[in-house]
Amino acid sequence: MKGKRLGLRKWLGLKLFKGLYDKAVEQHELRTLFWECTLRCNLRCRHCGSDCRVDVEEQDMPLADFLRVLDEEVTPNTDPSRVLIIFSGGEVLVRPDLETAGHEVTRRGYKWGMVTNGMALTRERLYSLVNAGLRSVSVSFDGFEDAHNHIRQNRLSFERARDAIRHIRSVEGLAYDVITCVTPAMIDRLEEWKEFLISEGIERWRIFSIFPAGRAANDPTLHLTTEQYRRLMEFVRTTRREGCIKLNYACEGFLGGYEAEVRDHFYMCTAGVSVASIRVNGDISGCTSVRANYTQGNIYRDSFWDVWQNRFKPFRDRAWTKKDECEGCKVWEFCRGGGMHLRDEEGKLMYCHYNMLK
Amino acid sequence: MNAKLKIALLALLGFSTASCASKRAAKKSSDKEMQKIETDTVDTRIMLMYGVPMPDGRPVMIVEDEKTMDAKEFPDGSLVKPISEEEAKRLIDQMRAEEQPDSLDLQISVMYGVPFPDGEVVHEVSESEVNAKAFEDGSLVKPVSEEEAQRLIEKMRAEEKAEK
Repeated sequence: MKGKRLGLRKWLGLKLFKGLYDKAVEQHELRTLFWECTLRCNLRCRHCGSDCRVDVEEQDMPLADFLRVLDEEVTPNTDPSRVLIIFSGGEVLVRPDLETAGHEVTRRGYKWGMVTNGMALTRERLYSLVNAGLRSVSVSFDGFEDAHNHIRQNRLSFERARDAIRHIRSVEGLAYDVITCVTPAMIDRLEEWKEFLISEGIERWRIFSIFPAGRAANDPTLHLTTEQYRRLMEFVRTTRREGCIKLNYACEGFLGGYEAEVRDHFYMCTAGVSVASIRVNGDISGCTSVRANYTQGNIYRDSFWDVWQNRFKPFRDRAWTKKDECEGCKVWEFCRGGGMHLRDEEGKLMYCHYNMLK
Repeated sequence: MNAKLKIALLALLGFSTASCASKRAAKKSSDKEMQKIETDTVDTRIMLMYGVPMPDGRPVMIVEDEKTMDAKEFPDGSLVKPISEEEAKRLIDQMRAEEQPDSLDLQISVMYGVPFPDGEVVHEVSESEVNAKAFEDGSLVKPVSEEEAQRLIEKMRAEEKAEK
């Protein structure tokens, strides 16, 4: 079983990759733009990092406001064909103007995708979205019916997600994957779950584990133990070697000996480096997983492009993370303090994946 | 050491997927069902936690497209198939009928002190959406007025209250 230890080959690879990361930071080319278009949701999942709900105080951002940012700030400064726009939420399908949004974004030369829980993704809605330019979609699918419905707190959610995936598979060329949030309830059934996904014809699968943010922070039953976490890493590694399904572990954190074995790439937190987000209230930040307040500006007050070019210092220069348990850590040069989403309001690291691997 | 050399060395070490890009041309096809052909650069990106896979530039084609047969074609050639009000109402009624929370879920919702989600699709298709118009530039604009949004929110709140 692998652990924290890096072999010479991997150490050399990481050293080389470090240089590429520095280059990416220096260039900070905007490649992914999240638009958190709503915080409303038709589910109330136990592990929701955004703490979304049906009844939210925050109004959806008007489409015109987002399009203004694209037209005045992003399009003149980028090649739209190189920027992927991701509609995120909340649950994006609760927005009645999603097709309009997709159509407008496509008309401007951007590719766009969305993340959904699948509850409201009927065949008709999907086709309508595909016709509005949808090119990529990710569906949350957290395990067998009991586990999925438990975590989603809705007894129809498994069936709806499965149906949504089947509809998606009927659109050739539409990039998609399913995302499984692995909880202790699923750790013993991963092999069986994998077989189920393969039998459904699913080709791409992404796994992540709970990080302590939003509602998940207060539910210890969702968190993996050290032993379970190591088993998860072994499972991902073995599955990738088998090659029956294209599995990736999400960009959670640096993984020592498992680097480049559980993901297609070495660990790198691209929040604020090539990924930006526009929050529902107009806040400009890195990736939407970053829930603590690392807001760099607001589209209603600031120029998005000016913010992207000239701020984002905490994201691009992570030297400030070299404190507490990261101080003196021998892999900091590769890890740089872990993902920004793992830092709390005071900058403290909430969770170290590397330390989970003994 | 420049980036290309680093990538080459990474490949030599067996880490070829760490950073790469390739071109794939869309296949030509005479298939009438094919709606769009795209040519694009495929680039490997860091798989973000809540991101989506990068579209690989393949042509997108609905295999089972019988449902789009009656879709309307707008001036820019795009197909838009709005759900009719009756269809939306039927789906919502069906979901409501199905969504009788079982006792386990009720217990859990009490334990955490939050209302149990009723599984309702929040979006109801309004008449103005169904009658959406295409503008001269080809864009389809289906605005929801502030009053309409307010009405929907109030309706949701009232229903939630009634559920409690």
